[in-house]
Order: sequence, then C-alpha cells, then structure tokens
Amino acid sequence: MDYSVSDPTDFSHTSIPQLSQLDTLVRCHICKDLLKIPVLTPCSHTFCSLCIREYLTREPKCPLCLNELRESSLRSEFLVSEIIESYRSVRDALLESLMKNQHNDNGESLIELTDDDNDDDLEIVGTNSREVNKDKNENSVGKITKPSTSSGVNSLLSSQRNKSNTKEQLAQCPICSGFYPIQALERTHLDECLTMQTLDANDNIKKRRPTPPIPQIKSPKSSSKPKRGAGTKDDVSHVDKYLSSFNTDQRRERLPKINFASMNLSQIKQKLMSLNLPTYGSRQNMITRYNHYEILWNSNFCDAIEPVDESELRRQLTSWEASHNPSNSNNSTNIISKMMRRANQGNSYQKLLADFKNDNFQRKSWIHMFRKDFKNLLKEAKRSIPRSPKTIDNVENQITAPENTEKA
Amino acid sequence: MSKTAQKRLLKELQQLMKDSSTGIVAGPRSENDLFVWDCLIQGPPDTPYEGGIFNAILEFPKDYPLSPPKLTFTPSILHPNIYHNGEVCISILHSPGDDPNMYELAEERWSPVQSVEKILLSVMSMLSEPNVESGANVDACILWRDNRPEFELQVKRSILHSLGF
Repeated sequence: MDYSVSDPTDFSHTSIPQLSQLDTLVRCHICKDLLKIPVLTPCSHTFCSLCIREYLTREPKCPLCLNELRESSLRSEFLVSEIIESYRSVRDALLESLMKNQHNDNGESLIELTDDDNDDDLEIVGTNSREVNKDKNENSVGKITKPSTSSGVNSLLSSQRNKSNTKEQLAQCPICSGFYPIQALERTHLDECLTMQTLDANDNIKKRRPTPPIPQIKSPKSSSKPKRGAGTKDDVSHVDKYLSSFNTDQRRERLPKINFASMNLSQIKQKLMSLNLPTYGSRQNMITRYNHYEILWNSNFCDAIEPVDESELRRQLTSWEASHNPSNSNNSTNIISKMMRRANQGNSYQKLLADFKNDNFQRKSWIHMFRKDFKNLLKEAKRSIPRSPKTIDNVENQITAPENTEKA
Repeated sequence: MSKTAQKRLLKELQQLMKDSSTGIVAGPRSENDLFVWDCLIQGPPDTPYEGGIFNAILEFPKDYPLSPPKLTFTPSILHPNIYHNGEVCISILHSPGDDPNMYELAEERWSPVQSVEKILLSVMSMLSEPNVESGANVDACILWRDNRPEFELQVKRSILHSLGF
C-alpha cells in the first residue's frame, strides 16, 4: 500500500496555491484519490469507475446530487482519463519544483524552469498553462501567462516526439498497488517495495502523519527513476493513448447482473467456472465474488481506455477478497514484515542447510529456528498416542530436541 | 480491512491536520487502527454548550465511505439528539437506505461525498440547534421544550463537572 498520501492541500504552500483547486477537481469524491478510469453520469458528475459501480450496488443514486442513476448509464471519459493520467505522472515533479521555486524566489523562476528543463518537464508546462488560464481570470499571476501558449504547443509536439513505441503491459504491485510494467515489477520494483516497506514499517506512521508531503519531497533524485511509476509512465504518450482510444479490439461484452436467488449451488459454481473463477467458500462467498468480479470486469472492459487482461482482473479479485475477509483483518504492514521475516529465514535456512553435512552445522540455531514446528509436531505426536503412563512422556521430553534435529 | 477505506481515511486525516475548521480536532486513536478515531468538539458559542470540550469516538465501517461512521460521545451529554449511551442521531450519519424516523431529507443523509469534517461540523450545529422533532433523548426533548432555563442549567453543570469543577 502506498502510504505517501497526496491531497490538494499539498499545493497550498507552493508558489501557485491555486493549483490545489485543479488537484481537487481531478479527484474522485468517493475515494478522494486522483480519478482512476473516470466515468461520467447523466447528471454530469465524474467518479472512478470502480468507486461509483460499487456504490451503485448499494444505492441507485448519484452521491453528489442524489439523482437517480443506473450503472448502465455510466459513460467513460477517455479525455479526462488521459488528462488525469498525464497530471498524475507529473504531479510529484510539479509539486517538487514549485516547492523549490518558493525557496528561491517566488513566481518568476517558473518561466526559467520551463526554459531550462525543456525535455523532462514539458508536461508540467502543459499542466501549468491550464492553471494559468484560471489565474488570468483571478487576476493574480500575470507574468506567467505569456509562455503558456507556446510551450503548451511545444509540449504537445514534443510528447509526440518522445513517444515510445513500446506499449508495455502494466500490472498492479500487490504491495503499494501502483501500476508498473510487468518486467520492471518483477525485476526491481517488488524488491524495492518490500525493502522500503520493512525499513519504514516502524516509523512509517509517525513519519507520514505530521509532515505528510515529506516522503515526496525528500527524494528529488529518485523522481527520475522508475520508482513511483511516474517515470515509467512518462514513456507512454497520453496524447497517443487518447487518439488511439477508438481501437477497441480489447473490449468485451459486459458481464450481466445475475439474480442468484433462483440459482442452486452447482449452477453458481458453473457460472464461476465459466469465468475461470475459484469456487471455494460458501454460497454467499461465491455470490459476492461474482458481484465484485462483475464490477471489476465491466469497469475494465467497458470503461478503461486500456483494458488489462483477465488474469490481472482475477488477481485484483483475489486481493480484494483477501482484504475484505473479516478473519484476515491483520495490519498489512504486519503481513509484509512477516513475509520479510520468512524471506530472511529462507536465506539463513538455506545457509544452515548447506552446512548440514559438515561439522560446521549449527545445531543450536537450527533447533531455535524450527522450535515452533518441533513443538507442533510434538503436540500432534502426543495427541496420536493413546493414553499411556507419564514416564514415557518424560522420557520423550528429554529426547525431543536432538531427536527432532535428526528428523528435520 | 479495505484498502479504499484506509486510503480515504488517511487522506481525510491529512487534510484535517493541515487545515481543520476551528472547534474540532480528530485523529485515529492508535496508529495500528485507522478505523477508530478520537474527536474533540468545542461547544459552540452562544449556546448552553459554550465553554465545553466534548470527547467523542468515531467508528468507521470497513466499507467506508460507502457506509457512514458511527459517532458516540464519551461521556454522553445532555442533548435532545443524543441517546443516553452517547450515540449521536443526526441525518448525516444515516445511510440513505434506512430512515428510522421517516422524515429525514435525502440530501441531508450520508453519501460518500461527506467527510469527517462535515460530520463534526454538523454535530456542532446540532449542538446549537437541537432538532426536537427527531429526538433521541425524550427527557432532554421535553426539558428543552418546556423548561429551557433548567435545561441550560443542567448542561452548564455537567460541563463544569466534566472540566473538573
């Protein structure tokens, strides 16, 4: 989970505090995050596709104006989607440079910046120019307006120039839930994410609460690395994506709502199986599973500009189920630290095992490491023994440790 | 534990910490559990509650913000819209589906666009303007309607008591 929480007030202490308005507008009113796969309602309000679809299963109304609303009347907004994606990819850099600006001197340096960083930060200029128009109306910052038009065009042109032909497949990181190209995810990101989580696990919360923007500012160099997904996504031209959005070979039929009341268990199982979904759990579990999958599916294949494939949807479903299972209400950081511990154990376990046949074999640490397992084995063994005199138990206790090391 | 709920709560927390309205303070009770918040609400001026600081607990459901949180004053305070156990009964905390009192306007009810800040602000306005028509504490309703000075006296007394006088 990405704990570096962003919100519109991040901009209120920069040289262009008005940007927080823009930042508010591109957020979903349900999750308060930047809109993901935005959809438009007939009452002209915009929400994340997933958020609103989930809400509509409870209440067939628009959360904002309370007008009647049906899932089928949602329409995707490719342009808004790409505007937000391109904003998302530059937001950190934008915030960072605006913070720096304020340290140096206010206002004027913005123009210099756009001249200096002509290749990297061009998208920023694009974003600024939108805001600048707003500024004009508010009569606040007059000087910046001049470069806006020309550089806006520039950014358009150069993003065409920069476009990379590699259309990489994105997958969601299970830890920070950001999207990354699969290869980068497998090779580097997972490791980075895990280590970062465990390093920060202890002071994570303290750090993020009093000074929330710090995690973003303190990494001025890393913003150019593909760490937060921003860097990697820069390669994809949002303009191209939008222009090619008519390309609908990846679209699928929408999944229908199903009235499960009239179905028996095996019919439900069949339905799930036809979608390659797991069929364990109670009837209610399976129904919830289908219903959420239907939301994921329709949001992906009907609304997303670039649908992911079914296996990714199934992965999202699994992770959703895991996080909504009441028995599974552990803190996520705990799970991750457990994973790390297990991984560490794995290392030392292999190290120990390598020495198993030598004299170097460290019997004590081996016993220590598997103490729990040994105890469990003992308990099981004892349970299986029919009631017998206590003496045997005692003897057994004395032997346990060495005996078990041999077993293992 | 839902990711959406957690993220959203973190965002609300951050926004509250950066610029919250005067008279309210709120934050998670412990760092391990974002779903229980402690809140302090200041008694609004020009009301019997002026000068009081009231402690309340916000409990968020796992499917927040789809469902509203629950707000409970600890200890309970004397108010027509607060139950004896401290639970607050106002329309913003009721999901649109259930209407126990049958006369709440839909636009006053909970929807995901509401927020912790809005809840606490409505509670403050509830303190200054009780709604005796949908009373939660009938005794307090009657007292408020028929014997306002006595009601105010009792409130003042309990505030002084809570402040240690």
